[in-house]
Amino acid sequence: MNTTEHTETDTTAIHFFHRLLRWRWLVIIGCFLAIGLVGRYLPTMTKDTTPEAFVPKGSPALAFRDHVESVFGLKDPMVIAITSDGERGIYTPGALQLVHRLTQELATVEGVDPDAITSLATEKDIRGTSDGMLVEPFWESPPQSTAETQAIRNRVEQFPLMLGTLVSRDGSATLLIAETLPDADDEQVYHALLALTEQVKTQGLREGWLAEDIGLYVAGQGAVSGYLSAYIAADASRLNPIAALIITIVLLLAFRTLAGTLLPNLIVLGTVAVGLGSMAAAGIPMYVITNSLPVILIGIAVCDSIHIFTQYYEELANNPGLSGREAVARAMSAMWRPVTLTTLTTVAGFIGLSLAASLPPMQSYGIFAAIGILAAWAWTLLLLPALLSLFRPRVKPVPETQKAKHGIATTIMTASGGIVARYPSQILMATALLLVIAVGGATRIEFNDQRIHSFQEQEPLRVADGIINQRFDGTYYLDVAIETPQPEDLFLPENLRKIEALQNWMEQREGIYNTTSIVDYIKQMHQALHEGDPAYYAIPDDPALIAQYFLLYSASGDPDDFEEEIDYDYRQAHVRGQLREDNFQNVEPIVLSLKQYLDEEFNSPAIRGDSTGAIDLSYSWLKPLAGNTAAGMALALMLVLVSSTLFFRSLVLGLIATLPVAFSVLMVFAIMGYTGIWIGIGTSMFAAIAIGLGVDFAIHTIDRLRTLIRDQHLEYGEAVGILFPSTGRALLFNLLALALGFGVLMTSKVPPLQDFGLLVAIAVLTSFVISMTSMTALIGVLRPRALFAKREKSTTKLSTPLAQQGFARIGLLKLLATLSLLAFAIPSVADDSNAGLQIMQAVYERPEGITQRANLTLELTDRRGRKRVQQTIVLRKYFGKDKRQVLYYLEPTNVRDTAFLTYDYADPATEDEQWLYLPALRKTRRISASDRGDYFLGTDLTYEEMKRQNKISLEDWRFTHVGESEVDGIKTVTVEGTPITKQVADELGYGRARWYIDPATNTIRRAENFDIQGNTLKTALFNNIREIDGIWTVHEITVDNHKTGHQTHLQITDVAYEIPLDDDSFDERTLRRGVRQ
Amino acid sequence: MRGVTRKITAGCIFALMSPISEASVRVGGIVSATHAVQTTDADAQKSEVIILPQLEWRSPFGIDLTAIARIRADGQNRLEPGEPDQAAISSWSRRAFLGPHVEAELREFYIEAYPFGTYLKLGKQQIVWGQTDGLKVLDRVNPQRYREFILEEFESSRIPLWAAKWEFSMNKDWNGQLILLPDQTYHEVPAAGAAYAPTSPELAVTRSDRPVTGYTLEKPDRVLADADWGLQLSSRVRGWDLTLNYLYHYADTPVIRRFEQESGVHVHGSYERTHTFGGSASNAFGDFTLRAEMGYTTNRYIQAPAAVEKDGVIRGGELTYAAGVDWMGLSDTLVSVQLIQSWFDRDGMPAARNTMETDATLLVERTFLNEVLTFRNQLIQDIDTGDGLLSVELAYDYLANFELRIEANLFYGSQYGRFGQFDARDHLLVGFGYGF
Repeated sequence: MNTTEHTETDTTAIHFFHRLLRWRWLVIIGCFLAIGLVGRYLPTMTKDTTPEAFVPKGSPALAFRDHVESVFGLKDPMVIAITSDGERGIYTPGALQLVHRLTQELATVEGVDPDAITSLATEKDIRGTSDGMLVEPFWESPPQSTAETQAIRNRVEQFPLMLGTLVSRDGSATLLIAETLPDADDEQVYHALLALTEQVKTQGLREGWLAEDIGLYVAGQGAVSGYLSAYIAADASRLNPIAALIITIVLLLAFRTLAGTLLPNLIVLGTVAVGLGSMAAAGIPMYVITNSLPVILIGIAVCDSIHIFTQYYEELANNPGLSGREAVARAMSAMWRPVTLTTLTTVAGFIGLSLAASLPPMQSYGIFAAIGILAAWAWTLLLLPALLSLFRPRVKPVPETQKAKHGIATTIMTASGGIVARYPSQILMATALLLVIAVGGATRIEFNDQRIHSFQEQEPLRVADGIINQRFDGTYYLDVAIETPQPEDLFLPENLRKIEALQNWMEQREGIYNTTSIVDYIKQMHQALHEGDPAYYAIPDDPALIAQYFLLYSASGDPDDFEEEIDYDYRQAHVRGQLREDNFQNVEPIVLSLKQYLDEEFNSPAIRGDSTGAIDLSYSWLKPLAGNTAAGMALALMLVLVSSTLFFRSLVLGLIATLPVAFSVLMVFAIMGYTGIWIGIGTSMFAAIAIGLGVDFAIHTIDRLRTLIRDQHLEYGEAVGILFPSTGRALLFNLLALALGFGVLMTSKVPPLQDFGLLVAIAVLTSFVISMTSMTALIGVLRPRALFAKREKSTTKLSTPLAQQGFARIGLLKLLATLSLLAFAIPSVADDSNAGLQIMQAVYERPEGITQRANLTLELTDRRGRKRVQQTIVLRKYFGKDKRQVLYYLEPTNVRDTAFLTYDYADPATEDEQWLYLPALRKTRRISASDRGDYFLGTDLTYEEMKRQNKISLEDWRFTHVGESEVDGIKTVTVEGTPITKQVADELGYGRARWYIDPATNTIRRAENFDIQGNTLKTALFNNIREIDGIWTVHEITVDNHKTGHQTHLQITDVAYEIPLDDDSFDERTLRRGVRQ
Repeated sequence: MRGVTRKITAGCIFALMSPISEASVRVGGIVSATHAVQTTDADAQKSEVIILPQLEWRSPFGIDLTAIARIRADGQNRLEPGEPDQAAISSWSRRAFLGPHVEAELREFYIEAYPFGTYLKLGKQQIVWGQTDGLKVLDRVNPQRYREFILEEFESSRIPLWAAKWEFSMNKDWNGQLILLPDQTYHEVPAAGAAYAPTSPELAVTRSDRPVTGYTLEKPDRVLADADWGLQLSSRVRGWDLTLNYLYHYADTPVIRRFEQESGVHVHGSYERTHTFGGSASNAFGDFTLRAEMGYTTNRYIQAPAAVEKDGVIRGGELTYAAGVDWMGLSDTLVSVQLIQSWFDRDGMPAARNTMETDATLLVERTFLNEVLTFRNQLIQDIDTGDGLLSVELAYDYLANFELRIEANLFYGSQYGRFGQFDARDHLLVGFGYGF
């Protein structure tokens, strides 16, 4: 989420982190306590994978559905399907024996309601007899002969209520329907049924009463709900270790230290503990979609950690002498802003999701993801530095063979930067073309969902569901609850005829394969009482007759047999429509037309019908999902626009920052449109999440460009040349972390999560690519005032940075080859920029002797050629690793006895000290060492350069080895440096520098310095380098200041090393004594 | 026995001479000329030429000799009209006047030696303590010549004294500086009629409505018994440059007592012994340098209204402290702010000064063109009376050893204030300095 390059150390921050590190044990204990406090709720986490979970509490649709279910005792059942593709289908002794045995065994399964089992073995046939009506089971004991089975078949097929519901119309399958007890564990029941079916089938095969072609399947809405919970739990327990493993591998490859691998994982644990722990504490269950929450939190948390670690290692790489605590404080002070900013934008994305969502799981997702991300932020800024300062992992030295080599990532990014800087218009045209294609794809997108698709295609439950719905009239129910004003109003033929008409209307709808209601039973009884004459399969005209039928039924059947169809006082009933799938796109017109039919054709003061059931309920919450997706996306985009506008204080930059994420969302819609991925439960949130995550790339890119163009006044091309290998490279790793984090979801067994992971990964990839290319090109073309306002006068053309020239040599093929290699080789973050550092380190470590004395003649020439000559003497001595140096002016008399003393401490945590003795005041003035970028007493050398003497401070610069060249016929390696922070740049007075190093002597032969704005400032030539007492010594320095036209020429003579120099010579009080030559 | 004595003597000489280095003689100096015009009436205030010849001899024995003289010729003679009586100056340190316009002075003449790893400086010299600029808290070792009030650089206005200074290390952290000043020389204040003769009640004897019958000045004159001495301990503690100072000395300003007589008032001036305890501290924090200084002087005498004390003075202790902040955050620029407060324990008695007096200074200095051009502004403000001094200076180093200078010094405020009394002395100055 963050860059490692664009950093700004601020004093308050570094003080804060120093203070934090001073109290690190307290911080660590505090953080772990806080994690523990919230994390202790984790074991109390519950799961709710039912469709009802998606319906807001208090929803009228849910309340009505619950009411109807309680009136009629309906519950999502477990279903066992027995299939046989033989000639007689399931009407064989073996198959019916199986039905019988399973029915009996089912009653013994823990959690199954023994009184709510429905099968051919429990259902009763309604037949007319001479005495009236006979209600009897299809068999008392399982049929033993084919004749008996045929008789049963005849009776079943004459009982229309059985067909398509309990027995397939072609006789090839039958169902056993079992309802579970209220407190039963549906998942356990499902597995018990699987075991039972397997056991009975094995027994049947072994005992020989069961044919080989018998198929046994367990499914049903109860099984789906029950098993989905366990399925998702298993998926999570598989995904999370994979995510952790992948991240550990990335960390190991990136940092190659134990601490670098372990500590981010600790932050991840803390983040997930708080994210999910707070969810558990709030009593929010784990929903189907919140299963992806831990993975997302892992990805985001580790991202923050990676950036801190990267910065930490860079601090150490740039300054190996840095103490662990100081390195941590510096890394933190450099990174807290980007970490915070990207946290805020990501939180904004999730809050947008939460605000726009009307469905509880999505609201929870948004809220607890935001809490988790804030926790990640807190642990990253508090716990990580505290732990890091304890472990103090060090940078491993880079092997010689790897020195002076760019990492793959840098090479790619440098080359890409070259393309962008060179062809901005072409990139924008390509983007526009892509936009047109994307719009085309996005228009094809379909909003849809199907619950069974939460299981993989090969999952037994989904297979079973497919088979059952293929052979029967469907296990998905669209119900109509019928209500009349008075008891026994449902004996009235006109009411029953209305219900019959409703059923007929429903059965004519495409997608509804069967309907069932009390009317069917009444007609069956009427026919039975008329000797089975099909002509009497109709509603009697006399209400009294109908009442008698029910009385008759109760005489031979169970009075409770109709409890699922009609209430006890015959006032309410329900019609059940069967559908073979709950595909939203197919269901929507059916539900809508049913509601319309009920309103326009059915409802009257005498009778009223309301749609309900699982299909109606799904419709009621899926319908607003499409709107939520759009609103969530719009809100997230708006929040991103607002936050980036505020951050950049420019609406134009805010809009530009929002463009890449808007484009990436469009691209993903296009991919969904072209590949047929639905926007559904799992994928509806990707837009808001992708916006929150993807905007980081744009913000970092613009922020860096703003620094380079507006603050440092670089040309656009030059800025892009710097942007890509620095910020761009860091963002590339950022992308890899995010893509891998979400990529883990692609291995999920829950297909919507697979799609979700894939789409978010594509979205962040698109965001990254568009931010780095199209957006950067757009900035180059539009030249927004917020970036270019102060540059317009001097900016006339795009310059050609060195990086661009490099691209021509690399070529497209090499780029592609490198890209493909990238997949297999993730280069070490810490090692990559070490080439330049190694060279400068060698310069830094060049022997200087313990003591040195030299005469310095300063010849200062102004632009008109007027010269000022000053004589000085320099003494230098090392006190351990600390260096003390004193310079006395000898001539002319006006400045004689002016003395400058420096204490240069090896420990960067200790501020250097400087004193200036001014004879005119006869006082030694303590002077600020932070003025090191000021020119030393009128020369063109800064205090820093006078102090360093042909060496460069390693802790102030980031070095890059940029090539080789010749200086005065000597082969040199060229190293370019940029100050590590803006503060250091301001202190040194340089925005950039280039040094030409003679590797044979490790001396700087030439130095070029550029000011903060990037303009060439001065050139220093170091000549007459000779070995004195085995130490390479510069005897002549010429510095040309290109801005002022001033020149400083230093002639160094009478150099002596290892001479006895009294410690007192470097004491502040001795400055006033002057020097004894 | 003689042999042993010779060995010891040789050892002492060797120790005294160490460290031995090559002998050298350097003769140089500075010639400067300035012309100041009073802005109030366009009269010339001074037109002077100064020659500062310098001799440095680095002997091969480790003993160095430095001599600096000053020859000053002022065509105007308004700063010290005639030939000053130099009553406050010891006979060893007096200037020689060659007529009213020309004076010659041995500014400094000292030898430096390094016996036993210590540092010894003997002779006529300037010893400077303290950290403040423009105003003084601990910088009381050498007296000052107020020929141009405080406009002349301290380097030039400070009166060098014959003294011995011995610097030594006490341990790893602490260094000591012991000074002995047998030279009974005190502040030299211009006589009435001089351009910068003080008229402020704080600096001059309060006028009386009774006639002054006579004036006597009693000045210490015993070389050792009346010598000043002091000790400075210095150290660096956690980045702080610290000093602790003690000076047993005669206050450089005479106590002017009035003795009522029948015919009028007799005025008697005398120098009084006092102890000054104090310390200073400085440190740098980023772009800022903090300087602080404090001194307590035991016996200070200030003027009182005639009716209060019969001899017209009040004795008390004076605590002076100063804090300054230098900011060097901008390239080639120094901004320095100082606050100096002086608290006089006058025990409720009325006096010519307030119990607490506060001064503030602001210095803004910026150099241009590789320090060839220096623009310097200094404001010194007396917070209590509202008077002050604004100095604006532009210096241009035409060559390394040739400097051109233009300067304006503007006093403002009440005529009774220390600065305001010279309101009519505002001047514009041009000059050059040449080193050789």
